[in-house]
Amino acid sequence: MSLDLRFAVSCSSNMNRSMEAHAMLQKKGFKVRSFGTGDKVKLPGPGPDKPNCYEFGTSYDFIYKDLLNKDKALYTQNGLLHMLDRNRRIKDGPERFQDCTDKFDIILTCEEKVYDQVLEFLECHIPEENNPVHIINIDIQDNHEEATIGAFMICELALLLSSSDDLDNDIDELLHEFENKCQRNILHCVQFY
Amino acid sequence: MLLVVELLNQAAFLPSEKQRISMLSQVQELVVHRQPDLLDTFYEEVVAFQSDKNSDVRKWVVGFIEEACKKDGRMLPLLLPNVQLLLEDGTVSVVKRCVQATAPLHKCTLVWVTSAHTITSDMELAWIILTGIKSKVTAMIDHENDGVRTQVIKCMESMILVQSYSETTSVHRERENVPFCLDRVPLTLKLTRPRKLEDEAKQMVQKLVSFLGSIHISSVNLMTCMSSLVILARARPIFLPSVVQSLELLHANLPPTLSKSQVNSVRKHLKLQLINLLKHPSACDFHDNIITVLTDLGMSSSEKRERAKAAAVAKKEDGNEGSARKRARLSNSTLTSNKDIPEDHKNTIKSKNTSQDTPSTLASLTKIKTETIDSKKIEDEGGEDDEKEETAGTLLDMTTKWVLRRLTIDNVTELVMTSMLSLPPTMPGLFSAGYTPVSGAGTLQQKQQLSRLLASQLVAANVSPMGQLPPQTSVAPMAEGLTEEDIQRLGDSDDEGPFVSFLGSRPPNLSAPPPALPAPILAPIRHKIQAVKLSEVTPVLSEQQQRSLSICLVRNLLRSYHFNNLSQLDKKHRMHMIAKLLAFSSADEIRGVEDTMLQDPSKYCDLIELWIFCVHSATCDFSQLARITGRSHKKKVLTSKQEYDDMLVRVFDVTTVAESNTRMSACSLLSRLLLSCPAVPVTVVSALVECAVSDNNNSSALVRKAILQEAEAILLIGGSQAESIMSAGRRQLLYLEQPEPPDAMFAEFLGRPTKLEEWDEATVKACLDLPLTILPLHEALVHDLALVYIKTVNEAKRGILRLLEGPVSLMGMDSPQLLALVRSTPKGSETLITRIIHILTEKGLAL
Repeated sequence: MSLDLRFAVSCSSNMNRSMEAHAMLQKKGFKVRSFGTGDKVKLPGPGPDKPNCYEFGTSYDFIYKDLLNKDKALYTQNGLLHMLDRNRRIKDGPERFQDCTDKFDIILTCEEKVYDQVLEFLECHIPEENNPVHIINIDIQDNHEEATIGAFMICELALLLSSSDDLDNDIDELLHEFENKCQRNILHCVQFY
Repeated sequence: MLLVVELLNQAAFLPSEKQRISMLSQVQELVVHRQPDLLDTFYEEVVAFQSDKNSDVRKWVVGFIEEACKKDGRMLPLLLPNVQLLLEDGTVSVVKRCVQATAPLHKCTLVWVTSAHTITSDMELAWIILTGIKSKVTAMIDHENDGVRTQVIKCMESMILVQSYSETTSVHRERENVPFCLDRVPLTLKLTRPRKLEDEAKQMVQKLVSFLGSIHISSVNLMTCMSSLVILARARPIFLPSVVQSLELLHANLPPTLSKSQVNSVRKHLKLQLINLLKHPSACDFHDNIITVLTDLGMSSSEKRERAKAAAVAKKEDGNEGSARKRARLSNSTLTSNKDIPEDHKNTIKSKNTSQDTPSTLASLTKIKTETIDSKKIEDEGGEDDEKEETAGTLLDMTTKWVLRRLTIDNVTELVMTSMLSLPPTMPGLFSAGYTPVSGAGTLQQKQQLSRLLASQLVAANVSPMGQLPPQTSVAPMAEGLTEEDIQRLGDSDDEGPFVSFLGSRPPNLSAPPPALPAPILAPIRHKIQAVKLSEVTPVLSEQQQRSLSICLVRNLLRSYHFNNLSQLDKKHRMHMIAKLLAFSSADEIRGVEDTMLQDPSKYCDLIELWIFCVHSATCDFSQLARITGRSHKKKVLTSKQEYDDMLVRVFDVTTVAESNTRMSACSLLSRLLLSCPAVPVTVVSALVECAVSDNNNSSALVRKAILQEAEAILLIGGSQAESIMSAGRRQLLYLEQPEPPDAMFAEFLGRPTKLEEWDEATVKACLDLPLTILPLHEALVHDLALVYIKTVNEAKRGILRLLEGPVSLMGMDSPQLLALVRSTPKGSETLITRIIHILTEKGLAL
């Protein structure tokens, strides 16, 4: 049971937080996929009002090269290039959660807005088999340090959840335990595939 | 076909379940999808795997059954029994899978039965089994496993959708326009009437609604149930009122068991669900209520405005319904005045207090009622204009109007002041968590809401000034009226819950507190109960109360101590409980209990013994219990040495003066206690030593023996107790100097009720027992013995010579006291000395 759990990690652009967690969970041997739920892949640009926007489906490699051409110094300095480099080693490009037809047991979101979007999407989804999926939100700020801390927390949560033989029955308690341990507020909800 | 056989054979012998399942999946693909004609031949072989040891394989079998039945309806009567069987499986995951499969199987069966021209016996059979499965699954809503319950909720949702008629405003989630439902079931269906199925669906909805209101529902179940009810309400608007009401109730009374973040999740989910409901065209009647709750849940004003516009449009379109029109008018008018949706709230502190249904509030309200009762009629006449509009208004409506007219500043102030008295000293946590200040206080809308709330309390308590509620006849209008009233009442208050928990602090002299919720249906009442938090309603008992309760407990335990139907283990546990409770209570408190035990010591022999040990271990602080029972006991532990002694004295007192009929058992108890009890107090020792001269031939012999042993033991330890033993021994020896046995030797408890004039063998022996027993440990006594020997009567001399052998041989040849005695040889004691030398130089001892 434990290692069979299918995890999905989602943030808004599938760049930083979800990818950090994706990398870590993958290393630990979990079945994991990562997603973004926003309309576009947004990355910081030269100014606060000038973000770099890409469509979902663009590869990390393309974005990497694009940014490299735009301003190598800036994007090296703010760590974007490094992040993209890591991302392209993990998978091809950012994926949008709403375009994915795969089914998961646990969906971890990194921000309440993302959680809402995931829920909204799943609410519109018509369940066929009534397989439960747990959506859990842990708020993680969108910067490198917090993403790393968040990834550790997500990894810990994943380990905790996969230790259970009967997740549907234990999840309330496990989450409560986790919440006490990491001192963060989490949101949890169950939907059906 | 051969391939299928081959795969099945392989699957049967594969050790790993994953491989087995993959083989079986291939079989499934072949027989279900590629060549369905083979299904008939092979289904038995595949389903035989349901007895596989591995639960994953069994789960797979359920999946196979589901697929097979979907493919071919004729499989249903053959395979449904297997599902029924697997539903009883010991593994939760298999049960879950079965419940999951029940929904599609239920639909398949109904489709199959409906599409057939004639009903065959197979169909009847399948239907009967399905009905069995259905009832089993429905009953599983109380299953101990959270996951199973979740699945049951989803299954019930699907079954309800299938067993009800679609409506014009139904919103379907499925892509095909109208999914299978009762619409397609002919009225002439022989197996079961559609009407019956519809009723069943309604019952299931009711069950879900009451499940949503159950006290200890888990957050996962709660959210699943919410979603399911909203899906149902959207697809079947007929359920809309009860669903909206249940959600509002839920909002007002979230289960107390939820943690803070769970509450957040649930509130968030509730918001999402309510927004979903709001979008539904049939929900316009409930817009106000839903928006009120949404406001509490933190909906932004821009969102609200948007919804309100949409609602207004929907209402205008819905011009056929009179009531809807009226509501729209009301809503529009407030919109123009407020430029916002009416926030019908009364959440100022003032209104909170008034909304609280404490009896004092109610009492004060009734007082206002009586004060103003005279002016009422006039006012009522004056206000008839608006009442004419609703001639068929319920009692509740009338009362609402009555209350509204009386919501003057003076009255409200008095209500607040009165209800202040029943507020708890500290703010309950639940209240502060759920309290949200509202901006709409003081508006007409809010006053209306408040008066409706108060009116409902008055009506429920049957003190409405507009008349009494006829006991039976108005149940239906009540139900209708109160449903709406409830919605409003709960809609305007998310902090209603905490007040219910004040029920516990109600003054007891008020005999008939009004019911918290007047709703006649079951679920909301349960809701109301649910907000009572045990920790809040349970008063902390004073130490005194705790003590007296524990004594009561001991008494009851003692009373049932000798019941025959108790098992040995049970008895043992009870015994320990009594003993420990007694050990931690003071002597005064347990006097009654003690008396009961000591009246018949033989009956409670074991118990008394255990009790002594418990007291002793508490005294010496051996007992872990003493440490965990808190500070109050600690003090006691330190001072209880005296208590222990007192207690033992009491016990021994009772046993020594026992009546002759219980004497035997008392004596055996006494001896047992003497030998087993961890420390005998000095007073007891000195008292008991006197009993050493008792008669040897009756029941007290046991005691005597025990006393002698005890005395010996005490001497070995030494100390002040030894002194008293030695002096007692000497005293008893000196009895023999007297010409006739002294009075001290004759008493009922010594076994010699009548006085003897002369010494006889028994009395001599009785006097010698203690001195001779302690002689080897207290050798100086040998000189006294010699002196007594010289002075005493012949009978005693013979006795001494006869009994001397044991102690002297124990003293041995090297004893300095013996040597000194032999050397001095007082006059007249020659025979004694000779006897002593004889004993010492006997062959056996000469070593």
